[in-house]
Amino acid sequence: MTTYSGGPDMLVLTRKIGESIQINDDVKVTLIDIQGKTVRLGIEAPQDTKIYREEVFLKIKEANLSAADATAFDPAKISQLIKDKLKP
Amino acid sequence: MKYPSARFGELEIPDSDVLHFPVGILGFEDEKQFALLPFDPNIECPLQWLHSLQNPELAFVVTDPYTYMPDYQLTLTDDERKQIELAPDDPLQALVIVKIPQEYTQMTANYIAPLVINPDQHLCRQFVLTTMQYDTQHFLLQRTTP
Repeated sequence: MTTYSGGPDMLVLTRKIGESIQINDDVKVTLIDIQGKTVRLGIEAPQDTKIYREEVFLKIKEANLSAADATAFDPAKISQLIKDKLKP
Repeated sequence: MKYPSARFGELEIPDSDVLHFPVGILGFEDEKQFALLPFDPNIECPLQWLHSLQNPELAFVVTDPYTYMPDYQLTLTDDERKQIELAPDDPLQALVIVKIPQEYTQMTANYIAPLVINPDQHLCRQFVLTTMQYDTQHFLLQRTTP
């Protein structure tokens, strides 16, 4: 079975099902269940805490990188397409 | 001040028009200064260039999402607003990054990660919306109701 050993600045803790990790005063991460290689986590945090799957960030990074790679194109044609679309 | 640009040769940008991105843009964390330029000086178009003032090669095509989607749902937490010095009830101004492929009709906009602007402070930051409603690639030219 493959394991991930973590980065040099990563705190690695072992938890059993039902046990939690408290982060600051207001964030609690609980290990809910383990099915094979899949772990279910429960996260309790204040309403305005932003929680994302890491893939979302990677996807946006990729989207930004690919959008920056703008090759030569025809501004007149593109503008016309947008004008047509926005026509009432 | 003058800035070099691969696309436009040279840019003349007054200091008051410089947009500051304190944390850059995801994937371009070191790019802290940009300027908005017309898409084409001779054509009226809602698209604009967001041109890096540090990297002459780097420019994004951007546009105001509300132009295409008047009911675009953009909400930030108070904490996020603070990051660009906006008060909780300040109206939000945003741009989304547009990707233009070879087939222009397939151009897409990244509605899930808008660039939100504080126009008074010239501060800008890319935020990731938590809504499942939007994606990184929305067809810009798609009719909302077919």
